[in-house]
Amino acid sequence: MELLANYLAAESQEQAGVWVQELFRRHYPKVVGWCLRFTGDRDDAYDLAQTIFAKACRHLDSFRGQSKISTWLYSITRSECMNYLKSRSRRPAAADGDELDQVPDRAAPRPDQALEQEAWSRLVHGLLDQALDDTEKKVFTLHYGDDVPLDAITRLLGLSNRSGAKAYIVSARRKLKRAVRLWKGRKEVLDA
Amino acid sequence: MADIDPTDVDALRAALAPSGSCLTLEQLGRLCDRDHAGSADARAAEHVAGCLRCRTELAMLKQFEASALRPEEQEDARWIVGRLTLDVEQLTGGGVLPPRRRASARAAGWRRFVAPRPLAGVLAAVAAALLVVLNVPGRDGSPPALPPDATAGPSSLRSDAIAVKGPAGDVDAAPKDLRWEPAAGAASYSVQLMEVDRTPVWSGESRDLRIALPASVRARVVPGKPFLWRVVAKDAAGQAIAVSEMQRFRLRMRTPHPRE
Repeated sequence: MELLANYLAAESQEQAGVWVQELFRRHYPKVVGWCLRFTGDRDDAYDLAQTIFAKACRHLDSFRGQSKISTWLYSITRSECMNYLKSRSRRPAAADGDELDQVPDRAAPRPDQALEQEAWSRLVHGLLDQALDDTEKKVFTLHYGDDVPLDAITRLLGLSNRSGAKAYIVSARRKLKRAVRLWKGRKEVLDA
Repeated sequence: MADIDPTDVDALRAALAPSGSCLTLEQLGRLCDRDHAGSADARAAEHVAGCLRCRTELAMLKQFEASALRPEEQEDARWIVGRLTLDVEQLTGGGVLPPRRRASARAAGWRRFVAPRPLAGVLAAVAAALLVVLNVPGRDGSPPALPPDATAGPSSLRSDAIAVKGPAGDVDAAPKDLRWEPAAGAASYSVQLMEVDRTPVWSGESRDLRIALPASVRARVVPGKPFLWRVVAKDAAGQAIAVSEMQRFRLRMRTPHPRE
């Protein structure tokens, strides 16, 4: 925050520039590492990091200090990484043999389904929470909640197993199916 | 709900998408800090405990905050950071930052609108008339005389913050070290040596008022090739508290002796 205060107090553009450079310099490794993991490509990561810091420069005066500067930079980084993914593909590539992706598309929930959707969401969170381990939960949430491709998840989480995030999706799916089967069995008993 | 298949991909996507009650990154950041343990954050923590999405988001934020580059990323990261450093210097020097308002203007506030500017002109005219009437000698075009001890002491290049001793300008030999004057409150100093296009050449940390240049770096200092360097003073917590102006030095080109 001291660097930010120095930047805000700077009287000349040159001094302001120096403080901004110093401020950002501390966060280069974080942002660059993130970009490398998202893109898996040096040139793409550079373009992405450049976009992030250009945006941060333009909007630095709007930073209100409600969070740490690194959190603020993370929000820009996250948003730009998602834009990068969208520009590459609207949806993540399905894991081979992913039975989940063979299910036909559902229509968007109707307004009268909102409450049901919320209950459904809680149910899914509960089932995933019970059935999956921590890494599987992260992989599942990033892949299905944020459309992050499996190769990017593998790099982001530093997964070193042979097939990376894909193996976690496969095992998570198997566990989820078992959990759903148990839940349905219990529900049938209760409904009877 | 019984007609919903929990293995339906789009249904899963809908369930894992952010809901209205999910926390913003700012709120998650406060949870990360644990410095703001207010009641609002207690409610936020309660939500996070039951929300897979927020937990994952929080885990990713923590990973970002703590992230160190992995060994396999080091080389690419060095390449990117070198270019980013240049880009940000160009950006910050190229009008991307909002224009500065002078501190005096900020402090003066309403007073600048009522400042008696015409009076200043009148006062200047009166002062000029007095100089003529009293026959006070003005500038005669010759350089002002220096006090006798003006050239004593180290030839420091002063900046607003850290005064740098050198090297600066044309030098006769590749410098063995970089030197500067102390900055108040500084516990250590960070030094960056760059090429003129700001490509990083070398950087180092020192608790002293000098830092030795490694032989490998000195070997790169060849006649006629300019280098830039800058020193940043840091406090005990590692926060930058002062910075020098950018210094430029160059190993003088060797001019052949007339008899050679």
